[in-house]
Amino acid sequence: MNETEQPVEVNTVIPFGPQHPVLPEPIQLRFTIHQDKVVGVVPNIGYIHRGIEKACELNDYKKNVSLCERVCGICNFMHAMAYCEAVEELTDTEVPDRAKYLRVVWSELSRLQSHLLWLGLFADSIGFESLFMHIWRDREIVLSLNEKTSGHRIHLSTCAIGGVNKDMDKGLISEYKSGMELLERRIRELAPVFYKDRSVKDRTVGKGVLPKKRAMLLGAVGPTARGSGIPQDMRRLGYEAYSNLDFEPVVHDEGDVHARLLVRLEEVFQSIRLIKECLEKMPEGPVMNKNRRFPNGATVVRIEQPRGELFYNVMGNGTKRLRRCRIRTPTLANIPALVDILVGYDVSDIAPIVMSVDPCISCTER
Amino acid sequence: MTAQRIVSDGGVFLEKVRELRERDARFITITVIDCGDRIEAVYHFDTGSELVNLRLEVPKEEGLPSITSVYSAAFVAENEVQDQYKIKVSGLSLDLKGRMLKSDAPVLAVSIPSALEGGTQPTGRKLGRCRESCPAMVNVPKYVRQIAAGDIEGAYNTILERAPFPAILGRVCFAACERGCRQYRDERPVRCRLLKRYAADSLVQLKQRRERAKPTGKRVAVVGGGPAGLTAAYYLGLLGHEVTVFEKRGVCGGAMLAYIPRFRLPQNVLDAEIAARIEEAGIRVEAREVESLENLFRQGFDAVFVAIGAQKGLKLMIEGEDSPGVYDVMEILSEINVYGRRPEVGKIVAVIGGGDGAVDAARVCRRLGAESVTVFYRRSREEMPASLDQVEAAMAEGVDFMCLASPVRIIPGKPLKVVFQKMQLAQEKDEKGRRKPVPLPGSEFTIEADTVIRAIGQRVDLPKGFNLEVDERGFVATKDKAGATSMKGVWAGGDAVVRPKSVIEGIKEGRAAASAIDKYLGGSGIPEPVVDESELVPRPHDASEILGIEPATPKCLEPTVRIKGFDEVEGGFERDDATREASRCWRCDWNE
Ligand SMILES: Cc1cc2nc3c(=O)[nH]c(=O)nc-3n(C[C@H](O)[C@H](O)[C@H](O)COP(=O)(O)OP(=O)(O)OC[C@H]3O[C@@H](n4cnc5c(N)ncnc54)[C@H](O)[C@@H]3O)c2cc1C
Repeated sequence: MNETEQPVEVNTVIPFGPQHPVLPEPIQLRFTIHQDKVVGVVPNIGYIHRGIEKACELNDYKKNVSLCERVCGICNFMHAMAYCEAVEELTDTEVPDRAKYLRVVWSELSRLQSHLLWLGLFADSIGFESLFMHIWRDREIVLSLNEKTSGHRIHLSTCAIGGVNKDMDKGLISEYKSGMELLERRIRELAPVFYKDRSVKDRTVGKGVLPKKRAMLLGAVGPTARGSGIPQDMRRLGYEAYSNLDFEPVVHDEGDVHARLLVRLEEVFQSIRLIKECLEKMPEGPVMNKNRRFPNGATVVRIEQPRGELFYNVMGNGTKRLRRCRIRTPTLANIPALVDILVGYDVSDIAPIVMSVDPCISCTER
Repeated sequence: MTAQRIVSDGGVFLEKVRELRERDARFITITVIDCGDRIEAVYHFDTGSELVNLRLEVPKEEGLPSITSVYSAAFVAENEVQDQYKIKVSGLSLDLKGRMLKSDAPVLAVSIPSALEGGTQPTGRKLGRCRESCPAMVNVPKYVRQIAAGDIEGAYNTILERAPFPAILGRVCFAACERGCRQYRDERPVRCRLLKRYAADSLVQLKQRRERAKPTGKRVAVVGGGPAGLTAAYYLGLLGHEVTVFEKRGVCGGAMLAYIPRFRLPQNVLDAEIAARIEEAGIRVEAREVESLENLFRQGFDAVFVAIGAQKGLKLMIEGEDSPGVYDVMEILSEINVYGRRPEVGKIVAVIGGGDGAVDAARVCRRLGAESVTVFYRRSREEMPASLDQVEAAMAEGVDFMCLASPVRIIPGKPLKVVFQKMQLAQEKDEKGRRKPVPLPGSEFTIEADTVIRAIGQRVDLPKGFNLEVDERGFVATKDKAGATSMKGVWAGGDAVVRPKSVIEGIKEGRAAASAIDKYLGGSGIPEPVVDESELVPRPHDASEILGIEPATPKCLEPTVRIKGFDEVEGGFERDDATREASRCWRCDWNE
């Protein structure tokens, strides 16, 4: 090539997914790349849409509990809980106090296992395999505790309309307590790696920056919002026993991948603390109240999942079938932000940035 | 669940959605219910304190209007609605054309948005990141575009819609817009601030032709002639009210006049622009210190805007602070700016503080002949609130910085002795999220200085007779975003509210208050400029067209020349530079 001849510059389109090593679930992002920089992104979802919202209108409303549970693998308990809360409100069913505490315990265990899963997968996405293994070993503590109460490691199926269908005796409670202490010790040991290690910081600090104002405008939720300095946490609405517990949302201001990572890491400790507090404060008593009415009216329930605000809008019409059950999962809310933060970064940053909003496609494809 | 109900009127509905966005509400999702031939859609928003639901009912064949022009994030929910109910959502910014749920259409047909391919219809985002970052929401993309096209007067007037002082802002604004620019990540943001300055400086005359609205017969008093007060006065004047600005100094400008050093903001620029605005809006300026608001109402004013700034320096609260030779930053700066004196500061100067005031004071002292000037700050460089540009300029002029040092006591004498203590940053954070400095035991050290300047922050000097509620730190307490105070008919804004801020934030608050005051007096607020879609310019097909243009840099005085006097340090753009710089804009306001 002689000097005056310029290399031709064109944009390249790279499809990322629906099958990709860092994505265990099918979503496609189509990147327009210019000289190794992302200049455009189109999200492409819907590969496994299951029509759960529609199915909820066809089923008996009681059976929907197990259906809603299957919206998401990780947050299954929380989906069931949100649905139950809505139905309880529409049928005027009072939930016993002990059940409220148990629901918080299981919710926080779900958050724990979800965040630990994510911390591991994230380490994997930046090629830090040993960290991934360590985190996942410690996540086993949570899973075996789950198995002790519900009989299942992941899908708990303990939530029911009017309360919960499993209880814990004194022995189990103390086992849970020591489990939490062990977990806390283990994660404390690993935490400095996330704060200080160069191989983590190089891949995360200043990457995928989402300024606070944009985060608000794009409707980001959960750790994605909290990592951009927005103290948004649905648990502060005080549902179940949260109004009796003492906590503040974990917030970091930087808005980059590292900030979102630290939010989740610090929430692990927060969840451990909340579980311990619940086990201390839990009153004695029944765990379930029967309801005998059909849901009537409409209500909105919003709870905080590991990935952010989960939104259920349930409408009943006084029969055993619902009129409508609208589910908006946190990942759906974070897709606009995800698309936004990728633009302007290198191709090699795509994996950690995509991971940083913790996309859950199962949720997205209700 | 309650919902506001709107039947089949897209216009009213979008207006409501826009109002929610003004209130910083977050869009959650849409619930659609199929009612045979009609569609019922409930839009859910979270305002932070409550859940707001808007219900829109439309005939099925009509379909829903898209709200992506207000909330771009709604494209996910709207595409889903389109696919689930087989209805049309018109005006979607990113229309996946029925392929979101992958039921009928082939998956692979989805491609890059048409805008990237140089498509035709501008929809979706019309703000641009620069504009979103600007506290006053100046229409940055528009004036940048106008400058690129050579329409200087148009650009100046675009800025005037939201901020009345382009020439001043073009010099002293902290330029949040540039940090919002998407090319900021590559350290080559479009220099919006300098473009603003270019637009103002290349006008033959600053005074613009403005139609004032018919006189309303209402009288408004503005207390304080700083940027916040003047902005409110300007917009209220244009709306036809009779405005009087009370300024105790007799000359308007506030902190810009009294404290910002002349080498950053020359006197003639400041005076000319303020005079032009005063004339356009028919503002009366009265040299008087206001002592009581009730008196103003008694004199026949219908509403009052309080913008008295925060002009009292905070004290260090250490021993020996009142010794001769220790000055407040405000004293030194106003001595030069207002009285035209050149105080003696000796050879060695120590400045205590880390804000822009401290850096300005240090740079001024170099110009007053001090040989060694050091700024002492108690946290680390990363926490320093002063803007990086200023710190770099100061370093080039030979100012030294010493971080993590906090004064313990001052020993009077000639020279003064100042005992400092080294600090370290604790893990725990304060309410602003900055790490707290804690003393490092046994690390005291002493320095000598001829002059010590204290620049650690300001507070409001609120006259007793104002009878306004204040917050715990003595700033005027306000009830809403427009700045309504505890007294009926009184609004407040600028540095006097919440904390000392910046010129552009003062302008924003002045304008918001002006709008609220107009509504209070029976008007309908400041009219919002309408977006004319036809004037948006599409993004070029090939990004390298933009990325290949070399950024322009302004000429600055050499440091050795600078410190000889108070001449303006930074130069403006020449015509060619400005046009080239403006054409580097990515046009984020086009479509995303
Ligand atoms: C050294 C220094 C450097 C700065 N540099 C920058 C910069 O580079 N960029 C930037 O954006 N901002 C800068 N700022 C901040 C900026 O100047 C202020 O935020 C802004 O001027 C505040 O505007 P204001 O209208 O609220 O108050 P002010 O500008 O303080 O104006 C208040 C006015 O009210 C008058 N007044 C007070 N009490 C009464 C009374 N009772 N009756 C009548 N009149 C009264 C005062 O005389 C004064 O003129 C700087 C500030 C300082 C101190």
